[in-house]
Amino acid sequence: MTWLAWRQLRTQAAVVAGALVVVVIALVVTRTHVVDVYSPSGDHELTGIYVWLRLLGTVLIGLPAAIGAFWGAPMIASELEGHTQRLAWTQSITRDRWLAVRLALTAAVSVAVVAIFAAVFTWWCAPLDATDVNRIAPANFAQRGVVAIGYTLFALALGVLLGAVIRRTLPAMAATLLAFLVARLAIQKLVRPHLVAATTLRTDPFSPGPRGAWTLSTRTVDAAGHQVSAQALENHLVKACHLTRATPDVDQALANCAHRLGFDNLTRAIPSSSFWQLQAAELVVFVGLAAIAAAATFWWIRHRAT
Amino acid sequence: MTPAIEAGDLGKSYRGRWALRHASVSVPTGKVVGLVGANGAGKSTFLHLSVGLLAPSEGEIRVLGGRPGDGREQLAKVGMLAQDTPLYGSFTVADHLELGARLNPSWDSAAAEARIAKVGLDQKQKAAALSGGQRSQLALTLAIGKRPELLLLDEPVASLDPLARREFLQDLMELAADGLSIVLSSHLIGDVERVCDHLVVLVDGHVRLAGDIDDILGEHRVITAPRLRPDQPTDDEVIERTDTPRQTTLLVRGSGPVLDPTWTSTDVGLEEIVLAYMARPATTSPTLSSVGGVA
Repeated sequence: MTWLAWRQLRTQAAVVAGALVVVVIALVVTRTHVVDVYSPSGDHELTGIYVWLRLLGTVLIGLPAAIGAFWGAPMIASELEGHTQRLAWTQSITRDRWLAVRLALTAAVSVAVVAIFAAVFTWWCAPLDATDVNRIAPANFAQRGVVAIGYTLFALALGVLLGAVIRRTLPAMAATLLAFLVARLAIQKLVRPHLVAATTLRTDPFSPGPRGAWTLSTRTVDAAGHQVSAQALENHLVKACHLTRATPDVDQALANCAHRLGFDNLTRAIPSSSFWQLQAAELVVFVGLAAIAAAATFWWIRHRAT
Repeated sequence: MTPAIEAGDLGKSYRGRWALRHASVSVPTGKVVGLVGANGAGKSTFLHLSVGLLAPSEGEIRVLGGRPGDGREQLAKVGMLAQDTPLYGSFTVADHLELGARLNPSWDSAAAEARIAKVGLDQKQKAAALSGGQRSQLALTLAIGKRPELLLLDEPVASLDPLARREFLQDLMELAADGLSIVLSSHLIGDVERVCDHLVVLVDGHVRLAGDIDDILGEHRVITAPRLRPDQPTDDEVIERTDTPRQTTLLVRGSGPVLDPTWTSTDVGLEEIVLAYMARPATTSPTLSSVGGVA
């Protein structure tokens, strides 16, 4: 059965592997320059081709969705569409085994591709992350570490399930993209903030928040601990410290005034040090979702598919 | 001896519509069985139930003594050539043979290769480029390469030109001579009569007639008589009745003696018998009282 699964995957796998080799070579060759740019004497700004290379992180974000749509959704849908399941499922092999082998092989190839890509890109970005870039904030979190492996497994299993249920390849691909996007954003917004413990930091209003952390919420409180809105704070400060438009360095004056009157910013944030812990927790969430989708697919092709 | 297929009150519904219902039929081993019916009569459903591609909605079906599709041993016993001969378009002929060899422990590689050579297929050719006849030959090779005890063929000759059809049916008869049980569905009664020795007629998802073709031919005859009153009794079950102003023609099942000298009895062909069964209203059961108003 492994032979059949590989025979059905090998052409696309070869294309993807080729693209991966090109990407890895490009990143490996260019990393020395990134180290220089982000060294203490560097100018801390990527230019030219390096801007494009950094955008490979966006490709890494899109890759799990593409795998779900192009390898997951057609796995069963294209068989049902061409009726070839009547060939495959009438050989001397059970449907369960057929699905298990095809899922396992496709998952293995997908995870290998994504893991290599993510590892090399994380390494390429390490000089940025060590100095300038906030890697735990949502903009960069998915471009680093191991979470992309979880996204890939989930997108793949979701695609296979939707393909089996919808029975047509193109609608299944579209549904996979949409459902994966919704699930991924929903988890980022609703689940990720609760995966690891957040800390609350007390800082002066008008001062920059904690560096390198993922800020979940910020609120301003007065000396008594009551929350005040930004507008109310400003009105209060202007009145209390007699500030006008003519006051020199009005921003600094506002900050000093707020400090004197005992206003504080309370910031809930997940610190940069929790990066790997958060990566592991989100990986577990998505691997769990992938397992649920895969189990549903086994149930479906045993009881519902024809 | 275990029947090839034994169905008891078998039914399959798709979203509330019954494709097959109350099907009770026993298909013997070692024969070529024709499954006949109009399009949508439930032939494919019956075959898919037999190989385990479908699960019954009600009733039960046993194939060679086991539950269809239940494990690799059961799957290995039944070869299936599905309608429109599904093949992987991007696979070569050789790839398909490899597929058969990899997925079937009992695969007969030498016989499959020999068969492909005999029908003149190029092993390097992709399946998408094969003609209808070539596709059928490759699909048949796959279905018999696993050396099944029972071979199911769903409309195997529908897409073939007359010459390819004749060769294909010739191959089937050779396989049957080797002792393979075969069930083939078709709406071409002529083909069925040529290769089959047993017949199952499906009408609107119900089994209307089943038996050895010789018995069926022996049991049915056409009686021509002067115009009968609608309620005139006959000894036999009337399958079809045609009235003209001067005479009545009855297709009957049974062998009761014809006593009235004004009646004549003649033999009848299989096609006429099958068409008569297919034309009977679906709601009537095949009993005397319900047919043609004969009480």
